[in-house]
Amino acid sequence: MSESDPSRPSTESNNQPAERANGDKNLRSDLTSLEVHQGTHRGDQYVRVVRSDSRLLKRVAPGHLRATAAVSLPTSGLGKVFARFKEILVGRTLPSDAEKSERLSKLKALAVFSSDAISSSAYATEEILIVLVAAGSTAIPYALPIAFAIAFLLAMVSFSYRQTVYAYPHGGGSYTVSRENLGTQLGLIAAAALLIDYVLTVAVSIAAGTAAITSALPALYQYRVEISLAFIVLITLINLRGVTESATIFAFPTYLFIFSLLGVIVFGVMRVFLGGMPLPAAPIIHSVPTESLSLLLILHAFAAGSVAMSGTEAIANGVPAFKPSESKNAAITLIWMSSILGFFFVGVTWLANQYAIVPRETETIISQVARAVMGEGALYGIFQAATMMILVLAANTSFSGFPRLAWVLARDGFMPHQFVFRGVRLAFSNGIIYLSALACILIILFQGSTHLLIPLYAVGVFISFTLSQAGMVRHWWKLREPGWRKSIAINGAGAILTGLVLIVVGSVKFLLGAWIVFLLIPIIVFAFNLIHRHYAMVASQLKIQNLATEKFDALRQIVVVPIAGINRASMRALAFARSISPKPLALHVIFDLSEAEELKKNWEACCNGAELILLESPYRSFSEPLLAYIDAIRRHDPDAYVTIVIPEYLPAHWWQHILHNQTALRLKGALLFRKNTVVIDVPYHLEK
Amino acid sequence: MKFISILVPVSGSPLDEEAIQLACQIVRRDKAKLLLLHVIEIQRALPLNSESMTASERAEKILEQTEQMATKCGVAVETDLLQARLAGPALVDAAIERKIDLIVMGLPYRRKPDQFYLGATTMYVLSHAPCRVWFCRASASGAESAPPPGKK
Repeated sequence: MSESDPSRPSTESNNQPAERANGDKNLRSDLTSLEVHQGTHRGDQYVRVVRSDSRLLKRVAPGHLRATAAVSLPTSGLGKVFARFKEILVGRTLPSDAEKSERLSKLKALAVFSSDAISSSAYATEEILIVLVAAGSTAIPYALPIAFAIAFLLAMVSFSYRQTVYAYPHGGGSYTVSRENLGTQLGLIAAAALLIDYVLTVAVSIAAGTAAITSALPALYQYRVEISLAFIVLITLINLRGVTESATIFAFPTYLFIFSLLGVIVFGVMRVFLGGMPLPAAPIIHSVPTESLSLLLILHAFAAGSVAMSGTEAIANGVPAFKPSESKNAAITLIWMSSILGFFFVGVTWLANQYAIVPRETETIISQVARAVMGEGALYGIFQAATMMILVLAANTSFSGFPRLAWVLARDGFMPHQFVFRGVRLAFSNGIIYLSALACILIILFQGSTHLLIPLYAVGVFISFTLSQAGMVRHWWKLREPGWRKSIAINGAGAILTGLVLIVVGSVKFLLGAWIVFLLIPIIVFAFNLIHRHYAMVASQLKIQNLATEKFDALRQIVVVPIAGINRASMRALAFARSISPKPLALHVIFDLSEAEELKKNWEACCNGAELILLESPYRSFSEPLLAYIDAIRRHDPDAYVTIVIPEYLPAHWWQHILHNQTALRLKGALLFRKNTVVIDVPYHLEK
Repeated sequence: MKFISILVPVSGSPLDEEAIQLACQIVRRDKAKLLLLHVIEIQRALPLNSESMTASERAEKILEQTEQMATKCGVAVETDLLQARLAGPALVDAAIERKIDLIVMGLPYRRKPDQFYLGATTMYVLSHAPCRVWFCRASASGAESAPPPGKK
């Protein structure tokens, strides 16, 4: 049994037991009471600490209580039904200390954070070829060197972000790095660019997945908006169930795509080198070339193919989601992701080149490659299904990145504080819901056809890449830890390359729609600054400069009890008013003078000691004369608080409310937001 | 031999779980009530009703953990917290007051140089408890063994 430590004295007298020996109980503020018990031997005594038997609140220590899960359980029938429905949708509520168990292993994190990046291997090659084909068959072979160049850029960016995950283990990615090293405004630009890109990713990915379905089943084309919205709702619900559970659900389709595309590439390479299928001599292009092969065209193709980079920053943003050790696991996962993406992108492009595959209106490049390698059997069907799923799941990376970035911004005061809170499953549910709402708006606005949004796609990403790597250069320059020169070289080269790509992408896509991003970013940054300014002003007004010396004088208050008549509700309110003020004022608004006489006569008999004020209202309004009276008091004593104690009787059944004119509610509404006015509602619950 | 009310004193030692599991078997068999009790010993220089933040916090944690152990065994359990000068008399007095008919205690294996050492609380309960007392003594070698008194 435990020995006691030197303790704080009892709140009762020091040398006597707190309670009399017959066990009288006085409930203390932490819902405990002390009972003194006599032992069997003379002089033996023990104290029983009677703790609250409430299943809702558990005592942790003296003066410290903890709410149990039962506190959130509803008591009404309708509430229980709603709670059960919510539990089926999003799962059981998790306590805050379960957060560590909601962390991701590397394999699950790869599924959650890399779906956007890996899915781009399904269409990045096609984006390059669509541009090159405008210059005819002679331009097609340039697809492979362009793919290699993009893969090299991907490697640079990945190594750069690898350093970011170690330097910034608390996440935040481009925003945190830019803000801490380049200044707040550049950090906000990176954040705004990323947030735009996350919303676009959801809309475009879902629309692409829906397009894959409607391509296979044209009859569903007229329902493309509804199908897209349903996908968004489904992914939202899965994400609301929490990181671990969503990772488990999303892992299967992600790895199905990875292994099936791996199989396509390996088998395709084997068939090329070992023979077995004659390859066409040159690609057959049916359309007439409309452009000449030029550096501008190559750059345009490069810009188009750089959509492959989208999603690379997600792991750096989500480092805190990894199991300990977070940075090491995030770094390993990042290298896995980049290696898989680079291999797939180059592999698909090489195979397209070998099989002389060119873009077709009715079939995607990756589908043609798969069909050329595997034929049209069951394996091809599985691969197509996996491709459709990964395209839809690409949106999931945004569902991981957007809420987490919003959380970081809200924590720093640049977004509303509601984005800080975690939902019942410890997911950033407000961020998830806002992201899905914005994506739904885009889907509805563009009627499920988001070709206009694709040119906007990569711009935000390259803005954040460039700022992030420039920030890391400054980071190494400030710290100059061992190896800083090598680190600066990697990040510096990455910043220059991605900056150049940003110029190319921005220029090529500007008139196609990228100007919208350049317009939106400053608007969003302005909004960030407005929000931050508001929170800073609130903080400065609430802050106590010196806790030790600043004094808070007792408030002067004038207590007014508006009463309709002498009844139990008003007398209870008056009794309450007497408990907080020695001289409360009862105020009666008169519509009928005869009733007032009756009231005055009875007042002396029942309420001697409380002053009664009669306020005639010949124009039959209730709130306005009362407010005028309150204003008159305040003009006389501007620093005093006027406390309005409102008696309110509450009917026994909810449907009975409509039979009453809700005067108390209207009065409370009228008094809301008035300076130096306190409103106390004293309810009187009717039983029948 | 059927029991109605079983008391398990808990102290936060590893043996608590074994004692609770043994008690739970009896509770399930006899449909008995289970009471987990922790006693905070208060120094004589202080009033009996004085509260130590550290000791109270530790006590609440012990009771919460042992309650979870009992709940995992599938039995309903009541917990209680006492403050006394010495744990032994408080345990016996609580057992008398609550009409306990079986006390189950964990007993660490401790030896003085020449004899097995029971401890003051165990000795008192053993000699004064009005009901049956069962001990779960730890094995002579192993994690549950405690050093002899006076040694860390």
